[in-house]
Amino acid sequence: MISILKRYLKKYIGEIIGNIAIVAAQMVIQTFLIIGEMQRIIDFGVVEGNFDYILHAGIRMLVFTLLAGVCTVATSYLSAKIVAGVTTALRNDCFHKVLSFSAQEYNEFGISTLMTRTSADCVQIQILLINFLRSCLMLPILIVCIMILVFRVNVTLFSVLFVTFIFTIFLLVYFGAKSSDAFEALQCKVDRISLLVKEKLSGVRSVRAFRNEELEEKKLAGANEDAYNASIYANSKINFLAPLSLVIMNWAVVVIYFIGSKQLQAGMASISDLLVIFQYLTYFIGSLAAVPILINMIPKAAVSGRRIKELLDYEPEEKQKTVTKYEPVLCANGITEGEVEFKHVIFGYSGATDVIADISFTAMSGKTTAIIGTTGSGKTTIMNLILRLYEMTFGEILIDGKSIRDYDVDYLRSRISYATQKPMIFQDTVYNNIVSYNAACSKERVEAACDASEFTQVLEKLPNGLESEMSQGGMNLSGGQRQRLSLARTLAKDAAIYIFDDTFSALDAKTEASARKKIKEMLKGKTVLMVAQKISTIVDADQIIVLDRGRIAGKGTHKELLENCKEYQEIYKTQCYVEKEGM
Amino acid sequence: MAGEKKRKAKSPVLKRVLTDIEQNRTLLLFSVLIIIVSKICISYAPKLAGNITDFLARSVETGNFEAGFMVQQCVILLILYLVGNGADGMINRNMVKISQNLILKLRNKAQKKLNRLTFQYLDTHPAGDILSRITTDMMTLSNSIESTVPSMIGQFVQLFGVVILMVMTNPLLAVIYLVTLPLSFIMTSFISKKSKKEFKRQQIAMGDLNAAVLDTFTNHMVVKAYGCEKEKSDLFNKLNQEVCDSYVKSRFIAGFMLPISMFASNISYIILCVVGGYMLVKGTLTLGGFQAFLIYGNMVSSPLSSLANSFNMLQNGISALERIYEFLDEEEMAKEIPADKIVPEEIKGEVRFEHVKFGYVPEKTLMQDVSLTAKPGMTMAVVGPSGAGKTTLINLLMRFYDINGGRIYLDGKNIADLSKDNLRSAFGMVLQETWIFDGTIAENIGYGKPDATREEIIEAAKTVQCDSFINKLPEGYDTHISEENSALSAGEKQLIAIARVVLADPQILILDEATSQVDTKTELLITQAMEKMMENRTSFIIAHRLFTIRNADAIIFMVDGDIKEVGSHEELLAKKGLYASMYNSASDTV
Repeated sequence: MISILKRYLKKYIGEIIGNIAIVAAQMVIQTFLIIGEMQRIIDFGVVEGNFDYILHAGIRMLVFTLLAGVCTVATSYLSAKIVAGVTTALRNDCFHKVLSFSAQEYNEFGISTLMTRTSADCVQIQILLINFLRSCLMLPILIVCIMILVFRVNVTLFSVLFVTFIFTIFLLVYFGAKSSDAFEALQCKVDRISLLVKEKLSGVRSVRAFRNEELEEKKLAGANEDAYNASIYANSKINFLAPLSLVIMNWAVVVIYFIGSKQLQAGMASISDLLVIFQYLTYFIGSLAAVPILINMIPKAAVSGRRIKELLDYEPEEKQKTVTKYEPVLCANGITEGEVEFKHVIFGYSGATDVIADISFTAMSGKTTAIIGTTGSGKTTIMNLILRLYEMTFGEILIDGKSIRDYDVDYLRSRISYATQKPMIFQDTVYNNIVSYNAACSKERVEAACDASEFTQVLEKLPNGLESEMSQGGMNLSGGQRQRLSLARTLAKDAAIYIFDDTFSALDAKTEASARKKIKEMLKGKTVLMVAQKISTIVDADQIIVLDRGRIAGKGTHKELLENCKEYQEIYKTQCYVEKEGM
Repeated sequence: MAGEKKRKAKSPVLKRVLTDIEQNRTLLLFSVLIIIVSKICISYAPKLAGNITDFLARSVETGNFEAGFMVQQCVILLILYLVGNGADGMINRNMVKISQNLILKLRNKAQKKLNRLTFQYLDTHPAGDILSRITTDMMTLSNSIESTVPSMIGQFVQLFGVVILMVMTNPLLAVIYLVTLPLSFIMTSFISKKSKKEFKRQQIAMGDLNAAVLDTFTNHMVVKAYGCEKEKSDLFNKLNQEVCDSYVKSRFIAGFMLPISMFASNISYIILCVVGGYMLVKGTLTLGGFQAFLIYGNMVSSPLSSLANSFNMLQNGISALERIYEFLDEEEMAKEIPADKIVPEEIKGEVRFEHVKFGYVPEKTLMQDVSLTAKPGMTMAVVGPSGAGKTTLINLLMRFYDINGGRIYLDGKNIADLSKDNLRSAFGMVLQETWIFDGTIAENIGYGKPDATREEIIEAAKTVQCDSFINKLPEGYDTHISEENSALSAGEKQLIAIARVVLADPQILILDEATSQVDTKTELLITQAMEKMMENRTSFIIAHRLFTIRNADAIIFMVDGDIKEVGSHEELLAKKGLYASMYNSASDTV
């Protein structure tokens, strides 16, 4: 956590110094001037019976008070500015780091933890920082001020105070730090509860259908019990800290009385000296109250800091592992025909065996190439490689004769329109979803896209048509409607290559047939790559690639494959089998 | 539990919470007592310290130093501080215990509640809302009990004690001092109202930001593929800046609270110094009394300024408690008094719907009059456009929802007469949305039969063709999986869900789009395996893919909640009705 803070606080070094200076000024006013004035009232006013002096001292105190108030306002503004700046930058870096991730890295981390790191964890850091800057920075300065003042008054009493201060601070910091593991453990248990509840809510039908309510109850009761124990344990570690430090500080009062009385007898101190030291002590005890709160915060913030650091420092393994070192010659144009060629492409997730191995084929310009294969055979992976959502481990992918690594990534992606397997809907208007923020997309194009994807019927039912707001994940549409919206987006984009990754699965047969017919018409002359489960979907494709466990088992047209590809025949048979059985 | 059938009359929250901490009531009472005693000690200590100062001052004047008295007074002071401050430790411990016991109790109640909530509630309330009641609200509540309650009681006692002691020490000075007090109170309450508004604005900005981040992250593929990085980044930057600005603003306004209350307490302090100094000179106030007043001044103004804050936190705690109780009071499924019973092993599997009428909301009937019969061992396929009520049919059969009219019979027994638990023991179902929980693959498959052996689990996995891919994983059946886990594809997760049902070995099967994520080849293998299982077992299949259902014994074609056509594939084709037209349009490319 500390290294993270260091990195971000660096920029604010001037503000921090300013903040410290103002806090110092405030402390000096509070101790040297205001409490000092009180001592002078006793020493000069009371002892000499000088009313005027008392009144004047009072007026001086008023001025100092105003000054102290101005300082507090200034520090609260300055510290808020520093903290807001740091957390905004932190959040910003997290967000953009995640944005730069490839699909693989998203999978590796998981969306929910990326989300937590970007939002909740940054908030934790923010809470810690503001408390540190506002309350904790004060403490050492206050101690120094008091020490100087007391030292000037009485050296013996100074040493008593010094030992007490150091001992108390040590106690708080040492035991506070020791309790951080316990609080971390507590956090884990609480996280577990929310995971289990979330799981239970999403699987409530399964739970009830399997009549496992009791099992679930036991699981959750166990998690609750764990959280209970962890919280009792963690609290037992710091419970005694604040009371103990108060007892120590207050006992110091008694010790000072005792030593003070001896000094009074010897004429080495005055009553007003004692009085003023007690004032300092009271003031110090008051400001100590912030310490336990801060100590409670540290473990949480430390966990958050570590998680943020892990994210920001993450270096994708794949980049190091790529076998072929490649120096790209970046080029921001040139994709016109949209011919895609795979040359011995290999891809594997980190650690696991290759997902696809030695894939070579050419998707001809203006033709439809279909990929069919079993679950997990690597169909989606191939599509992701073309868009460089994943980086291939080995081999080469060429578009219009040039390696895809030679194209500027943004340009490359701008020439490909991709419909994902699971429709992804932005929490925005339907229109923005369709044009994907591309202002150049014409109204006619949007209309044509909606028509071809059969989204027009859905649109008619929406309250505000194209301006209707989609909720998170497009949950205000049904699965089939979401898929049609996703298709509309794909078609609205003017690209050279169109990719459809099993995008008709949630459509009923009639809608699917009609949509496919219209899409075929609309994309005449474009290169189309299509992942499918059913042979019926791809039977008229110009080229069909049969994928089996990451390898190409056959290439050709429907007719050719039926003659010479065993795997294809099998798929065909199974699909016809069902058909014939039914007939 | 029995009495909670109807929504309870909303009894006051505080009364209820006292019932819920029943087991700790004595502990709470005891803690309050300790708080009172400790605060009395703390309040009395400065007075005693003042006495010592006076004694010392006298000693200096007279030159006569009585060590015995001094020691005695100091020992009493030590004890007062030890009791007064040390008690805080015990109070903390007790309060944590009380609050955690309460939280444990409420959490357990809430989780039991989850099992008893109706689907009406579950299907219409966002999971996030329920989740936050069980997690965030509980947190707020425990914080509020642990820190706010004892400190508020303590502050009241201290305020009261100190005021009495001030009056006892010097009534005139006490009155003058107390008059200045409300000053800080009035000023801070004005600011706090203003800052509350700013804090709310900040929360809203934060909420917007989080929504935008979540949206971008979950749709990252599209963001990349469609080059929306810049737009999403711009949106993020805008919202992030908003959060930043509102944070600075709210902090700045709240920042005035501290100086103002400090200013107010400093003014009281100055008045004390000036008037006290005057009295000292006059001889109507002793030095010890002056010292006690200076400390009392602090002891009165600090609880006053923190009381407002504590009150806010308490308010938060109470509203969290209200939200929790609100959840606990949600309507539950009626307590069942089953009039009949089935023995799962003896189920023949005859299912009959008779004039079933149903709507998810009373004013909108989805099913007007549905009747159908599935003879034992028959495979029934349910097809139709989305929204036709296919899944509803299953919801009713499983009694996730209860019908509004008509009857459903299982083996001639009205399912309304059976307990839900008993009824569901006859069924096994695979749902459209695959549910995988955090655990090993073996645990996930074993969910269908909690006492299953490893052999049985592997057997089930083999039946649905997932043994081979599981074995390919480095840790095999002990591989940890979760909802977001990437080690398995969507189709593989679905296979695991199917294996669960195979393991459970139910008498009647329900497959709701069970194989939508699986490729056709695997699907056929599963279907073949399931067919073995489905022999002599009644089964209901919902599917988009027509070819998976062509070999069903009967196809039920539904539109808008009504059954339009029933018959075998051939019969329906021959009829040239709705089914035939849908079938033909779907397969004209073959």
